[in-house]
This record gives sequence, structure tokens and C-alpha cells, in this order.
Amino acid sequence: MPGLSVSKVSSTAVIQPSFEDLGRPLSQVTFCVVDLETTGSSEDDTITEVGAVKVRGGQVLGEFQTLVNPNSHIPALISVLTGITDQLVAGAPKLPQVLPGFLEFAAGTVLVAHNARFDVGFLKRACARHDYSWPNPEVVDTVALARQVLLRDEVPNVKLSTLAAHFHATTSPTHRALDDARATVDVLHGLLERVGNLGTDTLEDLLEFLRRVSPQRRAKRTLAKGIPSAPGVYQFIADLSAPDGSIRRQVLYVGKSTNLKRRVASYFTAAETRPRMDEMVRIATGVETTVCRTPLEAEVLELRLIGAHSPRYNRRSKFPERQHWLKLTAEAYPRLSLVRQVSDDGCFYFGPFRRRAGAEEVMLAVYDAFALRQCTARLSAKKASPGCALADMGRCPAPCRLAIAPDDYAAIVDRVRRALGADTSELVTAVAPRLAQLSAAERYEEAATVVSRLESCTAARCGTTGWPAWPAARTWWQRYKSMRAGRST
Amino acid sequence: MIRYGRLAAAALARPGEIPQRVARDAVAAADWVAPATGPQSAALTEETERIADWLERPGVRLIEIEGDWCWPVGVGPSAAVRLRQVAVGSTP
Repeated sequence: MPGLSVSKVSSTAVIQPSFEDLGRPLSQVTFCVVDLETTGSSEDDTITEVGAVKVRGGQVLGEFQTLVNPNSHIPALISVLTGITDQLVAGAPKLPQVLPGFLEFAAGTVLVAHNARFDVGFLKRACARHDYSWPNPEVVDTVALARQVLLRDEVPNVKLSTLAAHFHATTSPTHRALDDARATVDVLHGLLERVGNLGTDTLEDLLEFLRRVSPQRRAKRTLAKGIPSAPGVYQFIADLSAPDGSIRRQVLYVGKSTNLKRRVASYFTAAETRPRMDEMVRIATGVETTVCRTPLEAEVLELRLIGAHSPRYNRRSKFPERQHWLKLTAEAYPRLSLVRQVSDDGCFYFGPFRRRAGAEEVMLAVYDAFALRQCTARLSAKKASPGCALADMGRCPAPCRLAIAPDDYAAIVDRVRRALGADTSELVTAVAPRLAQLSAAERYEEAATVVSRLESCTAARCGTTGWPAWPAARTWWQRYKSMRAGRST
Repeated sequence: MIRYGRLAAAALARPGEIPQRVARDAVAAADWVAPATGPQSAALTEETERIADWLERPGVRLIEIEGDWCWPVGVGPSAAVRLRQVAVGSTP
């Protein structure tokens, strides 16, 4: 980019890391692997046994196990499955006595459970019922993790017994809380070993891993490595190999952000939901970033890069250079002309308009306000030529029939020039008598059209098209050729 | 630094630096921009638009300008009000 002094950042650049970048390494996170046995799976059922194992860095820190008196009958089917009978829990403590002990045991840890929705749901309901506040810990579901990590042909399903067998767990799950929790610990460690080589080494990465993201997109996470946490512009690049073996570099997408690292990383997570972007990330083979010093610089650089590369995945107009201008021609009887290009002929130009319709609207508003000729022929100031219907109706001063002197006509042209270039209120003043006529004749629809045309002229900004409805209004653009702007910080 | 509606240089004054000096240095090192024909800007229209919008944001201050920063009379909300008045016939 000429002029914008920007620094290309390669992935080898040394950047001082901030706390934001660090995350909590998995080896230092305390997990509390929990499993519950209950009287059933509905909301009315209660807990019959709690088992939990606290682990950190592969070391077991403690175990927690207790039966719970559910205050209700345990169905026979459940008793057969778990081996927990009414007689067994008759002498056990009740939930209000068990809950504080468990919450203390699990305080400050990350909860892990197999099908965590079930266990966490029971714990949350128990807390609500017995007036304990739920500590809201991070939750890792080994079912979700296994679905993301293990391939279809590795395990037939993600039941705890299947996974325990797959990872050769030392304890086999028996549908008793502590045994199942111990088995889940082995499954968790097995799964963590598998995600380690996928660039997941912090708790934040692990929690992100639980979300459903296509593996092809997730595999591109490494592209975000080494990008600085600074404002700037990023480009997704694809190195496509041509049939002759040469490599053709293509810019797929250009964007800007106040924090490049966070923004680029978000493309590889579940936060990115646009299908187009999913496709783009799959194609991309690299990300290039350019650090900018001010947000405006980033905005401008983004625009210029989009203009230069026309990236396939950026939405923008197909012909950004196409624009329309209104020109007051230089002749004996000047007229308004719609042109596509500005030439250095000293004529008065008004614009640019992105769409022709916008320019036509302003042209019609001028015709409403001023008696400017609407024909396109070049008229002689000496020789009369045939007039048109507008002249017969009195809507045109008929310079064609030499009904108006060039000087008088020039006065009208001056008013048009002033109305468009300096003082819009002249446009409104000039149209007032015509509006009064229309409303006196009860031609309200016609009057409304005239008013809406005028509105399109006097609105300072037009929100939808990107270009303002009053484009040449900022006269510095038109007259003042050079300016300097600074922003004191 | 803006020339003919094109961003020719940008600089950021860090705490302890003199903003005016940083601006002067930026001007000295800025791009040379060829003036465009007639009233056109020397950049893409979108770029000039963004710059113009930025200049009117609160907190942005002009250090130096050749000419004036101005809008035509009768543009904006006040014009809409007046237009309504004219339309209902209360003002000539």
C-alpha cells in the first residue's frame, strides 16, 4: 500500500503476550468428575447416590461418595440396574445433608460428567430446592467431547461402557456412582490425550472444542497462531495450484478489526455461523494481517484492498467505479445532462450518484422548481427552432423559439447552480408556488411526488445506498483541493 | 492527512509525544496525490465518504485545512421541517 505506512506482520514476529492470550493450561485445571444415581430421569425424581473424583494433572486429589435417602420409593427397574434398593438407602443421609458437602468438594473446579445435562440438571434442581446457590462452574461433557474427538469407525456409540472399554479404563462402569465417576476419569484422560495434538491445551480451547464445528474448519485453527492483538486488516488467502504446477495466490476475503487475533480466531469457532464464511475458511490456506495505527487507516486499507483484489467472499457492488453526475452544459441555453464521467471543461457538475435513478430524481426536482429547458437538442441563440409541448403548456420558457433572451435564461441557470451548489432553500422557495397551485387544485398525489423529490435533495444523508443523497454537499470535496486532518489523542 | 479526498497519511501520537509534531511529520511523509478531474475525489467514492463521515464524528479535530469545511445552506433536518411547512402552505 503506498503511503499508508503499515507493517506486515509475519508469524515469526515476537509479540509480548498478555493475560488474555494465556488461558488456563489443562494440566493445572482441577476437574471434578461427577456421577449421580437417581430414582429415574424425570424432573420429579431425586438423587440416590453421589460419586465424584477430583483430579488435576492426572493425579487424583480426592474422592467423594455417599448414598442419599431419596424420601421415596426406588422403582424395581432402577434397583435392578444400579443395585441400590430402598433398604440400602434407608439409613443414608438425606439430600440437604449431602449437598453442602458435595458443593464444598466441587468448589472452584470444572465439572465433568458423562452426559452432563442429566447430572448438572439434577444438581441444579437440588440446589434450587434446598436454597443453595448454584456455583455455575464450567462444565465439560465427555459425551460431547467424544463425539467431536472420536471417529465413527473407532467406537460404535458413546456410552460410558463403550468408551471405558475403548480407553482401557481401570474401573469398569457398574452403574454405581463412584465406579462410573472413576471410569469417566479414565475416559476424560483418554479424550484429553487425543485433543492435545489438535492444538487444544487450555481449558478455553477445550470448552470451545465441545461446540459443533466442522472438522475441516476446526483444523484451520492454526492459521490464527501468531497474529497480534492489535487493530488492523486481515486477508484470507488461498494458494491455488494451477494445472501447470505454478501456484496462484488469491485473496478470498478482506476484513478489519480492532483486535486481529480475536477476530481471526473467531472464524474457526462455533461463533461463525455464516455458511459463506464456512466455505471460505475451508478453501483458505493462510491469513495475512496488517497492523494499522488508527481505525480510519484500517477502514481505508480494507476498502482499497477490496477494490484491488475484488475478493470472492466480500459482498460489494460489482462496478464500484460506475457513477453518475448531473452536468450543466456550456452552451447558449444550458441544460441539465446526465453523464457518466467528469471532464475538465469548467462546467458545473453535481454528484456523484451511485444509481442513475438518484440523479434523475434530483433532475426532476430541479425541473419542478426552475423553468429550465428539458429538451436535449443544442439550441442556437440566433435562429429559432420548433418548440415542443412543454413550451405550449408554459412549462418551459421556450428558448427554442427565442421567447427568452440568453441573459434572462442565464439568470435561471445561475439560480439552478446556486440551489445545487450553495443554498438548497432556493429550491424549496422556488417550488412553493407550484405546490400551492397543486394543493389548490386538490392534486395532492402530484404534490406529494414533488415534495418527496425535494426531500431526496435536501436530506443530508441517505442511509441505505452508502452514498449520500446530497453528495456534493461537502463542498471541500468539490472546491477545496487539499486539507489536513489530525486527531489529537 | 487527507489530499483530494484521499487518505495520504495517518499517524498516532503516543502519550508523551507532541500531537502537532506527529501531524507535521505525517504531512512531510504523506503521499503525493494527483488531483482528480473536476469535482471528483482522488480516491474511490467509498473512501472519500468514509473519511468525510469520520471527520464529522465527535472528538475529531481539524488541525489545518486549506479552504473551509462547509455544507450548503438548507440541507438536513431543518430543511425537512421547512419543506413540510411549505407543503402544507403555512410558509410561502
